[in-house]
Amino acid sequence: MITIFYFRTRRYDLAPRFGCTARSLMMRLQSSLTTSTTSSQLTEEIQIPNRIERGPTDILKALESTISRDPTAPHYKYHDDPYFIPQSNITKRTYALAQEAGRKAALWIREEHRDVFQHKLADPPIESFMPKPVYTDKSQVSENTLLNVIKHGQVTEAINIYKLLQGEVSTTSKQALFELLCYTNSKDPINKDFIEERWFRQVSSEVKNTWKNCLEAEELFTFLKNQDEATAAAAYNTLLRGLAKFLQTDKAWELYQECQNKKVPLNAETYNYIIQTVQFLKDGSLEKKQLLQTILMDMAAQGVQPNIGTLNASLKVVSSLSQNFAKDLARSLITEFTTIGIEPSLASYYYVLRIFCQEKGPTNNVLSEIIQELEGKELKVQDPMDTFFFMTAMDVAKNHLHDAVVAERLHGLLLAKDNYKFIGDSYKESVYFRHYMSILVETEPLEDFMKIYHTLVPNIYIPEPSVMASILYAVEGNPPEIGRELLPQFFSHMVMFDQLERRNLVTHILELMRVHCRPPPNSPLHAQYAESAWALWNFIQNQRENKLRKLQWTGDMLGNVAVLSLRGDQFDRMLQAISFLTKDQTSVIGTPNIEQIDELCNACIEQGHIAGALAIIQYAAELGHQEASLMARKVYNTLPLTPSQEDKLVSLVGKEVLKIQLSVNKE
Amino acid sequence: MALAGNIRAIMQTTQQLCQQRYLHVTAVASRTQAGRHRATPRRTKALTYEMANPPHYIAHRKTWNSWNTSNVMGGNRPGETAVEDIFIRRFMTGTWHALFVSDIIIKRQHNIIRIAGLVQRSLAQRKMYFLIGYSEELLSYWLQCPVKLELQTVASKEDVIFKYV
Repeated sequence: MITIFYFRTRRYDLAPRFGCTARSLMMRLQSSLTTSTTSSQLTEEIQIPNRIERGPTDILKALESTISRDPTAPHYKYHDDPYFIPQSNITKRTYALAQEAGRKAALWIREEHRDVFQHKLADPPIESFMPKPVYTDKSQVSENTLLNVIKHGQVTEAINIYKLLQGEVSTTSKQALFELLCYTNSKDPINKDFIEERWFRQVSSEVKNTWKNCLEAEELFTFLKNQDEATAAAAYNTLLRGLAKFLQTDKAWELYQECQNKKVPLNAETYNYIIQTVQFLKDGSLEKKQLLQTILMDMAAQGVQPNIGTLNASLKVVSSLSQNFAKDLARSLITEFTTIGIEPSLASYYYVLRIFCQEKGPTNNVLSEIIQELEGKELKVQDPMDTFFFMTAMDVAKNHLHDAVVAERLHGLLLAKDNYKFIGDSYKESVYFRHYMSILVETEPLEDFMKIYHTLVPNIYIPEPSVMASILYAVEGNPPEIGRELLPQFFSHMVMFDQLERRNLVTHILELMRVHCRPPPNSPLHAQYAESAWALWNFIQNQRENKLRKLQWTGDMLGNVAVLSLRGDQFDRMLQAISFLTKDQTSVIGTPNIEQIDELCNACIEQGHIAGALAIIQYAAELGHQEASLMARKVYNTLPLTPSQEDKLVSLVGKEVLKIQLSVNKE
Repeated sequence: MALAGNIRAIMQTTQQLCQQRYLHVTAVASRTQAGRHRATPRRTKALTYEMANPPHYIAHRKTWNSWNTSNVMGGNRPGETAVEDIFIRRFMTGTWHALFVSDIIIKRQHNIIRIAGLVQRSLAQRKMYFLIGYSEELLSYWLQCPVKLELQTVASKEDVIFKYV
């Protein structure tokens, strides 16, 4: 019906165009339609695929996978307005954490005024929006509330409820609570809603015993270990893991011995934690190796099937051994685990890199093999140390291999699929990109590097001063035609990233502008350079008096500012810089070099600015430069001087110098 | 005859008067004032674009300040939505004290409430970020749905002035 209607309405424009009536066209179309359907019916049967089970967020994930990170926009956690977009590393951190602080304040208000937040708008009620209930009496709580609190990992609340219940709970609940206490070390973990705090957190690398003795945990353990065999074994396993995780190694080892004597069955996870304590129990490499082997043999004797955690824990121990033990042991471990079907995870590779690619050791290209292995694979999170892989691998590519190709491949691996989740936190991300950018800037041509620079900076990564320094060295190492156009941009980036305080960077870029990348005459770049130099002048002159890390003028910088202003036809600014140089000599460190002074003096002579020229000659004479007399002579010969100016010149360089010149001229 | 003629004339005038009285329509009764700003003698009252356009220009020159489907036929929670919108407006103007220079626009889509508006840059960025986090979170707790702020900044109050009346 629909097709007929459609063709009838289109009759008037179809008929003349094709030279046939609408009816015949319609018949032809209908017949072709029927033949095609019958032929397809004959050849294939429609197969209805099986229904695929979808989770509640699968559609969101599918949508999300269609968009990739847009490097031209700031991260979406920042508000989309020029005023709110962070420009430097410090502002990135400040803004994100400030917003989270606001959320925390709201959370605190909700908890303080819990009585007014009791309304129920959402149906069914959404627990996350409601204040957490406070229990003060036994009648308010039951075993279920305890289990619920344990499920959400609220440690303090769980202990409180357990106390209210006066320990009248089933053995399984006691075990659950005991597991929670041992897993979290009886401390509340950081709320998982505060993602920024976790992202920007500085994890201290200090390894020490942080185990907290908790009265409830001890009570629970004494109760549980006197129950039936299975319960006691679970309790022993739990406590062993807790002690080993928080590095109460001596106690953990004692308990391990006790378990062996009592023939308590331990499971693979417990063994993994015990293996990790080996490096703190023994000092020498040989002893560590032996102990590791003993534990692994013990596992085998008990018939415990090792898992990926066992491999990672063993490799962690191996990475703390001396070179001659470590490499062979690591190799044999990996082959043995692969034969029993355990593929290494990113954490295993991280330890492998630490073992094989040490800074002092011989170059080892294991990283290329690892990348080869990982490319095209779906990587799964299996170990907390997985997040260390990319940072360390880039470090190896830069400092061990010095190979930009490997770095590029590694970066490709990071961007592939969903792998960016392995970057870890902000610290690891910035270390990763620091190494990546440094290796590229050192080895790649500047044009290629700039393409990557423009995609990453400033939204994904902001170069640290050390990276900026190596970029400037790269500019110096390249022909001036390439660097010339880039310098004003680097300078404005330095302003944006708060790097004007770094004297080495500022000195270097000014020097590059003046000498290496000096634009040809009449180039518009001169004006841009002059503007950059003057931006620095304003920055230094307007610094707060009581600022802690104040940037002080050096003679070199000031000379460069003056020269660049001069080349950009900013004569007044040049004079201002010169007068500052000559008058405030105490606040300037060092002196400009003679090339700069010479250029400035010549400019003054050309412009006929006698006062400026005299000031420069005076400054040069005070510094004891030989060239002062040459300049004086030049001034004397080319500029019409008043008697007082002549006197001044004479007093600066002496009558003889000028006179010689006079006599020479007369001859 | 003269008297009769006079009487007729008088009759006519009174009749005219009566007719006029009866047909008179008062100017006061048709007066509409809501959403309109009265001019000041020296034209010193500053208006934003939104204020400068009276309500009959809604959907022609300007749009609504609340976007929702509560008031369409069969809409959900019309009364509650109105009260919540008032609450949101008061909360925002109070929390962002002297910062909003435009009306607060409230947009509801599904279970999300988006609050938009212009703020002036008289506060440091990090303090504004604190307020963003605080407002979003507290309003989420209060309204029990995700709340998002969509702010834009202007350098000063003068930037939003459309005209003086």
